[in-house]
Amino acid sequence: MRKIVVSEFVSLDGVVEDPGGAEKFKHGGWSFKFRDDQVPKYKLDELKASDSLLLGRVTYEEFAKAWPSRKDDMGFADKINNMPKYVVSTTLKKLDWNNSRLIRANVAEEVRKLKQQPGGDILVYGSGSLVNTLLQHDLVDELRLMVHPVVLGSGRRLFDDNAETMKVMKLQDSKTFPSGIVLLSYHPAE
Amino acid sequence: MHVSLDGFVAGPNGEIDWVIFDDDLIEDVQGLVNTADTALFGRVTYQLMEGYWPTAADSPTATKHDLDHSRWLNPAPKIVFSRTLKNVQWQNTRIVKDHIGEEIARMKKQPGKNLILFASPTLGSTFMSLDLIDEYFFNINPIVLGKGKPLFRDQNEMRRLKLLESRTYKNGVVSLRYRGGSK
Repeated sequence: MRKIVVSEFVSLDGVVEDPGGAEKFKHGGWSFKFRDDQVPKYKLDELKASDSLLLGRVTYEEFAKAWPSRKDDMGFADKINNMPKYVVSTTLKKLDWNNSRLIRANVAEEVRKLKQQPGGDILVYGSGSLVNTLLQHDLVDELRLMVHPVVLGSGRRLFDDNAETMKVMKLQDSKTFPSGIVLLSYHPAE
Repeated sequence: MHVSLDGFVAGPNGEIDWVIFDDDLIEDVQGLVNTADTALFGRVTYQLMEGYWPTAADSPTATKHDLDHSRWLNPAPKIVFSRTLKNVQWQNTRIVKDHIGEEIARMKKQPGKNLILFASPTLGSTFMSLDLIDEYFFNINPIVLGKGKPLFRDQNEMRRLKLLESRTYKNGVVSLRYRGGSK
C-alpha cells in the first residue's frame, strides 16, 4: 500500500505558518534564513522518492502561484509541476496547476482509496488542517518535521484546530543539518 | 523543558503525564542541573514543585532521581517570580515581584554556577523577550498533543537560536540544546 508522508517546515515553537513567504504572515519566509547545501538535496531526494502530492487549499494556492513559472537545474520544479497533485478543498472550482485534481468531500475515504492504488508514496507539504484530518483518521504513515532553530513566538501552529489530535508517535530517525535544522521523522506508534 | 513534537509544554489542563523521563534522560538532566547552583521558577511550576520536593526523599517509594534531585534542589537558593504569591513554605526561597531583568542581571554578575529555569513557559517567554536566556535545553517528546500550553508565545519578534547539540534517546526523545540568539 502507498504511504502518506507528511513533511513540514516548523519552528522550534511549533509554528508552520508561511515558511515560504507567499502568505501575509509577518514572519513569512522564515525558512529561507536557514539554508545550507544539504537541505535542498534532501528536499529533492524526498520529492523524487514520491510520485504524487496531496495538498490542502491554502498550500495548493501558494504553490500553484509559485511553481509553474519556476525552473531549476536540479529538476525540482519540473518534478513538482509534472507529478499528480490531489487537492482537498470544498471551495475551489477549478485547478490551473498542471496535473491537479480535486477532492471535494469524504477526504478520509478518498485518501484511503488513493493509498490502495498502485504507485509510490504520496507527499503532503504544509496543509495544516488537512494533516489534522489525516492524523485523526490514522492515515499518516510518516511525519517529518524540519525543526528550524528559530522561535517565531506567534503564527499558526501545525495542529491549530483545537481538535482531538493527540497521538503517540515512534521516533524513526533524526538528522542534523549544518544550518542547525534538525529533521525528526516519526511513524505512528503501534 | 519537555516539549511535544508540535511545540506544547503541557496539555490544555496542564497535563504533563505524557512526558518521558527515564534513566537515560534523568542522567543527562542531572548533569545539566549540576552545572547550576540556583533554581528559578514561574509561579505555577513553583507551586507544583513546592508540593512535591520538600518531602520527596522521605517517601518509601522515592527513586534514585528523587533522592539526587532533592539533595540538590532543597538546599539550593530558589527564586519564584510572581506578582501574586504572598508567601512561600520551601526553604531558601524568595519571591521576586518586579524588575526581572535587573534582578537576573544582578545575579548573573555574582560569582557562582549557572542559574537554571525549570519549565515555567510563561516566565520563559518573558525571559526570552528580555534577552535573559543564554542557553535553551529542550526534550522533544514523540507525541502530538494537538492543543495545550504552547512553548513561547507573544513574542514580538522572531529569534534565531544556534543549535549546539542534539541527542537521540532510545525512548524516542530528542534533546536539543541551543545558544540564545539574536532577534
